[in-house]
Amino acid sequence: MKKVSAILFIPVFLMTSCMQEPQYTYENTARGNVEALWDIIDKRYCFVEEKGVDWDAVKTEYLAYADTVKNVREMFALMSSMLDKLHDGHVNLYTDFDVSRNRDWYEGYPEAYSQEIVYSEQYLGKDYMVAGGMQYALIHGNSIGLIRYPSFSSGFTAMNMLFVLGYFDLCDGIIVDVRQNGGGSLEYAKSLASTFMSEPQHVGWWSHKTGEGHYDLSKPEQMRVDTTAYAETRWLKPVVVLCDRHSYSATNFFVSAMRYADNCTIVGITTGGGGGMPMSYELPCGWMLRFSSVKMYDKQMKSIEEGIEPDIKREQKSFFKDDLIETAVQLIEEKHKG
Amino acid sequence: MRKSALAILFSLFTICICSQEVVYEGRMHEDVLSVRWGGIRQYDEYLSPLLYTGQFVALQNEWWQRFGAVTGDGLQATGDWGHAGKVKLQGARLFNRAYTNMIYALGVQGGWGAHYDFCRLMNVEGLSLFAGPYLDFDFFVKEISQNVNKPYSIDLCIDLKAHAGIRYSFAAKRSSYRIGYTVMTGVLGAQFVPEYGQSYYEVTEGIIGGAVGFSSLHNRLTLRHELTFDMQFPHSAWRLGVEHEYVRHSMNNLSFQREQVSLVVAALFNYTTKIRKMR
Repeated sequence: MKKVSAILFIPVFLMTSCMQEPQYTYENTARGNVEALWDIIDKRYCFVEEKGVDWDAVKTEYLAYADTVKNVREMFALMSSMLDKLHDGHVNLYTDFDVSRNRDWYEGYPEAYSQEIVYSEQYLGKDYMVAGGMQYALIHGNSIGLIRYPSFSSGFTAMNMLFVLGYFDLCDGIIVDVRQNGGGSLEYAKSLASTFMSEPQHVGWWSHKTGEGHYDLSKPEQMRVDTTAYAETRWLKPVVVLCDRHSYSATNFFVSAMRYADNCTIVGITTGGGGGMPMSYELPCGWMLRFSSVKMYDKQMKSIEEGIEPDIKREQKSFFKDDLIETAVQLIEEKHKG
Repeated sequence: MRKSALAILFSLFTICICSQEVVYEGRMHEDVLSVRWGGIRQYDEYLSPLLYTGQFVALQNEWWQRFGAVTGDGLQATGDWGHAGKVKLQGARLFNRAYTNMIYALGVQGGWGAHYDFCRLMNVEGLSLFAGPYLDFDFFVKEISQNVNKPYSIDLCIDLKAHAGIRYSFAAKRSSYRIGYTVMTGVLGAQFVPEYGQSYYEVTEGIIGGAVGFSSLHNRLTLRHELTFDMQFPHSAWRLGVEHEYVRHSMNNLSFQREQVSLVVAALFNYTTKIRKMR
């Protein structure tokens, strides 16, 4: 019986918990959450240096306020203000009652879009067609196709594209309007870009954070856009991409990639940027913090975080016509004649 | 209600019939089909800096068999070497301390190993002491659906473990019992851990250069041990037990921990496999 007891009791001692508290443990207090927020951005955000912000000074400044916070809304306001220092549309704080968002990246820039004009009868009208995430119509006496893509959160299939390009078959060119498109899936952006490329293209580079240091980034890997598998879903006649400051994130990448398309011109104003892939991480209070940890560059290894310059700069000034679409129509006509 | 009760009774009857000792000619084989339920704690620095706790349920099938010949009566395998294997399926749900977020996890574990039984060296009635190598596979997928661009994290490892155990069988009150304790700890292998800020989008694009690495005691500590109590009834054999599993690994500046403690209820199937005769 002694043997049985020994066998029974020795392992019981071994089964005591081995779990260690995580390395980054912060108290679930205002101070603890502010410290955690600062630490996550400092170690995991890939643009700390590029944003030119003295992040150490931000810590000193905001920790001083942390102890004066009285409730969760005040804590949220404090943290939002702290994140605003980064001027980044990809940095957000998600709570049950609000989402922080920065507006610096588009406020104060010229307007390049008017919804009222784009959806007026001279362009898309009310009876435009919809294929996946694309809205499309024939304009300018049916000689030009207009595709409006409001968000890359909505996708499209090869069949969608087949019907759209079939509809534009006799057109001299296509206008792809990605103004006010705040991004979405990189995959849809790549698929759309592939429609306008005759062969696979190396369009940029990306690298991710590999450690806690601000410059700890992986060796850049090529970002490629493969051509569409079906010749019927490829458009090699002139294409004009319209962009504005709200063309952000995946759309920013799309505009960057389209610079390497066969017959493409970009018209509008500098895109909003957002050249980082955002990811989420939690704070001790359970709020979700979103920030970029993968950095994207163009083919020349220039960061696309601050936006893409168009080939032709145009702002929306007219009250009755879309200045960017009119410029695009003119360009396509010139290319067709020339 | 009556139909449900009948169905439950029929299921229990079937399990009892199945779990009785069946003897054929050939090698002794023990099969253990178990249900495990318990608590789980998880720290996955890739997904979240917070500790998550919750519950899990698992279904496991393990088998034990001796290598070597069978004695004349067909009941006793005489070899000192044996082998064991298992397949385990588990599912878990975990919450953070603030109860604002949840992880769903699904896992598969499998393995096979050989062991040497030292019982003849010790020559103690009913006592069995064994040790040997064990090739183990651990796959555990976790999901936080609210995470943008990195909602998943995968624990993936294939490693060689050291496996040892002790069992003591004894008879009391017209029945026989067996107490056992098995322990397994990782020695070396290979593991998959994405890089610090890498997204699974990049992984799916084939960028996995730094995500697969060598694992050993310096960066991966695993301990899996189980205390069991087997009871032989007239027509069936059952097991009650407690299992504790702890995995701690780190790579690419990320650290992970998983700890599970579970209650084990199992049915034991003992039989000898049939010998194919040459014609």
